[in-house]
Amino acid sequence: MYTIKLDNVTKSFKGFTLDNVSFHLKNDCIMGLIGSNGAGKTTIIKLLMGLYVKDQGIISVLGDDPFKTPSIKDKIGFVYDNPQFYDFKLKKITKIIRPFYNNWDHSVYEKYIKAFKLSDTMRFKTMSRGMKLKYNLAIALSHHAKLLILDEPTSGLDPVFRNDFLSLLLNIRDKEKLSILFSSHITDDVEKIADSITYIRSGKIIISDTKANVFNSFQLIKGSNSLPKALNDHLIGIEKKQDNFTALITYHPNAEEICTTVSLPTLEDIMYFHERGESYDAFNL
Amino acid sequence: MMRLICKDFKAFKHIIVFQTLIILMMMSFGIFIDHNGTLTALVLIIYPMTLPTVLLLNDIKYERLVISLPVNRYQFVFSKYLGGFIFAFLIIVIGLVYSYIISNFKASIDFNPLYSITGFLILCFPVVLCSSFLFPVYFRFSKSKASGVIILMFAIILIGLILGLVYLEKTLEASMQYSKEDIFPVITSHITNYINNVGQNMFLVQVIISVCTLLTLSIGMSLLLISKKDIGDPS
Repeated sequence: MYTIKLDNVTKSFKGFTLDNVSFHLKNDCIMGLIGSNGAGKTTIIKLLMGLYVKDQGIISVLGDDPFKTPSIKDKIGFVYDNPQFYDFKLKKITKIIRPFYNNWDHSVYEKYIKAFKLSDTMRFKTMSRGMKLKYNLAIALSHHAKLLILDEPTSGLDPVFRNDFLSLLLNIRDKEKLSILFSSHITDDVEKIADSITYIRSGKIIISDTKANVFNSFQLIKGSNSLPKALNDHLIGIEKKQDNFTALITYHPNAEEICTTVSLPTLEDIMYFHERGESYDAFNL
Repeated sequence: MMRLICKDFKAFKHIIVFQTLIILMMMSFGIFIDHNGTLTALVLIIYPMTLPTVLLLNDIKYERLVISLPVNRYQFVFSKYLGGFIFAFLIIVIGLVYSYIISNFKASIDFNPLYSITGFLILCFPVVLCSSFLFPVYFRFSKSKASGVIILMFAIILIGLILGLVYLEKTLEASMQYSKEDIFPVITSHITNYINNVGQNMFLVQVIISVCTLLTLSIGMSLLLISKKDIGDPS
């Protein structure tokens, strides 16, 4: 039923705590993990990959804790924000990596290398960030993984490949019946492909629900004066300008009667107003 | 674990080959300036001694990648010890074979003491000793922090060495009594005397127990440290 289950997971570092994080990713679904820089997205991913040692809580990936049962990583494809492979030609790196995967399919690997316009003779160190990500993705997709964990995969990619990449993820999910956890602060990308969204802020989960539920839970309102008092309890964040305001509120059945302009927020609006709260614009000096 | 050792060989065979060639080259030049083979034999101690640590140092920066593979952290630690020792002992054996060949070109050179249990122990023990002290440090800290800790360790060893040299000065007179034909006359004579006193079998048992104790402590510490380590930089 669930590919990933995190229950009350806590991890503390000096100056940062991932605080009682819980969320579930259903089989064959794509989850977008969003949050600003330093919110804890990468920490969650490293916990899921068994790189970090949790302080408390339960982590289950494909039924096992990857820290205690690393063999489960045979079924996980990973792409990190800053791919790190041995400084050799791609052919040699692949030769080093492939024996670790029982289901390695070299024909699939060659197909992706060709599709991504890479060459086995390229040297990893001299490749651009986008090319490194493509190579990492080719490795992640070549062993028939049941789960893809992607940490900021689209940052650093050109817009053409970014769109192709998102389409590819959708295709792979449908064809291979796998689940994808996809962290990003590019909310447009998440909005395009995710079935569910988890929003993390300062180490705490703010939202974790299906995309439809997330969008139906909020309303974006605009007005010329101040926020109507009836909506005060629903306020998430507000941006005040000289003669108007824009605010994000939790769903209010009568919002349209109270305010003239009510619309569905984008994911960026939801994240922006949560981060902003009622504070003044720090950049409006 | 074999997959990890094979990975290290594929990834770092250039280092292993380079170290082997350096040893052979230095031994070849060494016999021209060396009157009894001491300097040449030193090469056979120092280079294999550092090899496991050099291999670990080169791989530790890819720790995040390796631990992201379907690999157990404990297997990772064991593979570093086992792989390092296998590669180091392999180049010691190659060096010994080469020493046998080159000793035919200079009559005063006699590597015979190396072709004994004592000689082999002199060559192999530093490999175990060096790795046993350094590996836990690298498994605990990141590469940069570990370097700081190791500098501190070497400073302590240096002080110990200076104290050792003072001790050697005092025993210098005694060392003159030993044959100059031997390689490391003082230490080999001490070891030979000790072996004669306790008996060869007992000596071997003692060495095996010491090495096993040292390795058990070192591996145990490495396993404990890596099991608590967060791999990759914290956010």
